[in-house]
Amino acid sequence: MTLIMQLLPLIIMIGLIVVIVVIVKKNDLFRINQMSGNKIKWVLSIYGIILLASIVVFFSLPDDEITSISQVDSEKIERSNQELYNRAHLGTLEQSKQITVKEKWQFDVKEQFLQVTSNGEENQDIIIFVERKESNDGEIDVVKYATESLVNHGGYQVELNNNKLIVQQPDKMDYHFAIFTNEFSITQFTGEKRLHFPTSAIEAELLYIRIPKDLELTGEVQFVEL
Amino acid sequence: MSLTEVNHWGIVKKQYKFKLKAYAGVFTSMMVVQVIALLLSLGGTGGSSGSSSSGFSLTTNSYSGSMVIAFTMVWAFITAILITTKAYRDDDFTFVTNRLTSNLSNMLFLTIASIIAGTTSLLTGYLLKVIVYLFFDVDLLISSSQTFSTLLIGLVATIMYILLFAALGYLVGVLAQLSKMLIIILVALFIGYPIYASTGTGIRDEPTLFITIGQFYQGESTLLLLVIKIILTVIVLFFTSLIITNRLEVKQ
Amino acid sequence: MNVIECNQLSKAYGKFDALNLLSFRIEENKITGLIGRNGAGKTTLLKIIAGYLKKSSGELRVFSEDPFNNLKLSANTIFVDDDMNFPPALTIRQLLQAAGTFYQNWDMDLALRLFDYFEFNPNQKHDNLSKGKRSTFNMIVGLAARCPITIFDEPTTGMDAAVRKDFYRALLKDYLAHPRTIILSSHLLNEMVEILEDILLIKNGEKYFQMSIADVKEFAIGISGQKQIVNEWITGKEILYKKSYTLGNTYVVVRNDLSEAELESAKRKGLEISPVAADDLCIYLTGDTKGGIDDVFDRG
Repeated sequence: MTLIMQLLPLIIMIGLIVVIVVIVKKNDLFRINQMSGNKIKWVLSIYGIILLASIVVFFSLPDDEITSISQVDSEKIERSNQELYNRAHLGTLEQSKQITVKEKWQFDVKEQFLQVTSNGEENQDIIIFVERKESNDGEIDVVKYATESLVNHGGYQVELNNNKLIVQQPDKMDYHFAIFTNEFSITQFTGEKRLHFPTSAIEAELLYIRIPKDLELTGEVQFVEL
Repeated sequence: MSLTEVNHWGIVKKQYKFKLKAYAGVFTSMMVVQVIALLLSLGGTGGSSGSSSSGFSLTTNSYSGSMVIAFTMVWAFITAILITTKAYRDDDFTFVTNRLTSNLSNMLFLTIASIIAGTTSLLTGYLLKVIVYLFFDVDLLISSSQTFSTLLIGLVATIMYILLFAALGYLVGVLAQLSKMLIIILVALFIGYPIYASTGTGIRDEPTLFITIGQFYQGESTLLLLVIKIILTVIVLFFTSLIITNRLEVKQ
Repeated sequence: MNVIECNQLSKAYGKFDALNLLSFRIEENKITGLIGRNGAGKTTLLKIIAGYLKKSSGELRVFSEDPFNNLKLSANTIFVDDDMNFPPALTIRQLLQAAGTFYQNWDMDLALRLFDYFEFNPNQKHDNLSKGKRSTFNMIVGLAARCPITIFDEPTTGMDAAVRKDFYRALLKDYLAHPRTIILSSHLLNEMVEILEDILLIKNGEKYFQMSIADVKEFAIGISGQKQIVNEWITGKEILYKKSYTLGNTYVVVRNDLSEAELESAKRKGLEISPVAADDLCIYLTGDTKGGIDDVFDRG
């Protein structure tokens, strides 16, 4: 079975060639071309002009709309993404240069318990870290950290409603990138590898919440033990 | 009536010019092949999708003219076989020719056709990218470094690859004229060997012959060396074809 | 001067001998008719002369050179038959121009005038022409090329009678203005007998004879009369053809090496003596059975 799967592309390719050759042979496809030499010349000229135009257009595309990125950049993004989560576990987010504080919220809590939920969805996607403060000051500090990345966005929002901390998903969750790569006859010399994009190329975010010492908290969160 | 004197190169040039007109149809078929490859490439020639730990999903699609070039290589191969077939071969002999000039003008034609096909196939890649830029709704366009120098490198290398396949096709076509049996053997070899190699009869990870041959060209990272390798191969292929056809009869 | 010299030429396709030890000469600036039945080896011989096919053995010199794979002879030879290959991408007008670039003596003016006369549409494709039109077009190419060796292999295939007549007339006129060596092959001798100077008759790949058209007309005589008397009279003579009629009459063609006395005796015995037309003679000579097709039906 696997053998057949492996050979499938080859078989399809050969099949294609055989079909082309049979059709060409039978119908004399290349020979009976009712197009006269002049028409062919015209069609080819138009084709050539379109191609030449496209190269002019391509090289004059505005730079700011096209990101140039190397594998190194891509790896850097992946590393800072890792760093974000590692540091969150350790509670040392503030010490990193790659990680920035994007937004801060402060809420007062009156009740003794707090539920963390997301808006409507079954479970929130953003990872929430929770650290207990030394004291019971009745305040919840929410900090959103993010990494430097390719696509920046408004990101998750947080609001407090009674004793519910609601995490709101941004409207846009699905991103689509187009990568222009060089042809194989070029990459062979430039040595560029196929660009691989970590999903963290979309600005990665996490929420870090500090809660009063004795607040009871439910929801999908991870506690940070310092 | 006195005899006309001829010089070989003059006749080769005349035939080449004649073929450029007479075989103009091959360029329409090239265009069709490239447009088909372009349309197929619009779906992206490789990509990935996944979701991040922050819940965002990311789909990436790569766009390049690689498929167009690959299709054009197959086109060059088939076209080269075609012009060795009886119908095309006999066209030559209606007018002034001998086997040497007929072959040389064919080779000259294939070389020029490869230059045209190589240039257009590489440029079709840029057309693809322009289409993606203009009509596709994407959040981010990322481009690996594409400059005039990569364009020039690409032109030379692509033309070389297409010429290589044209020369290979020409030899295959010439062998087919020689004997149908030889073609069956060749096809069996080309299909049979990969099957044999992939059944694991040999050592598993051992690169097959085709990969080795492919690596010889694809693994070359210096343009000049690739050009030398391919030109030498093409000379060998063309020369072999020349030797084989030089005694063949026509219009049987 | 002999333009074509052929000694013991043989051509075999596998085990089949298409040409067998053929020897002949063709002089410069003569129109020679190559005559033979279908399958006699005419086309094979012409293609060897044109350099398309390779001889198996023997010697063939065209302008003292071996024609196979010979560029110089290719430039000086044109081979016209009913399946000349032209690239279908070009119109017939463009084909004429292409031919003009290859043949140094090409007469475009003549080609265009013939084009007009035979009412060709210059934008048509060669593939789309009718069989007769295609042959006519090929003939125009063959004539306008003005090659020192011009070969027409069954040139009139598909042409109607009027065009055939025009063709031979055009050929003769152009030949007189620009003498060259022309070989015409056909199985229909009668229509071209007037323009031929020489006839080369081949049978089963072998030369039967080569002589001038005047000699051909004198070559044989026909004798007819009562079967018994004829049979008696012809004993010891070379019989080329014999046909029996009902009512006991017989027609015999014998080689014309008879003395006056022999002819006299024939007349005295009441036999009728008649000349044999060149084309009839060729049919008789190339026939395999002396009785012809009637024999097939007259058994028993």
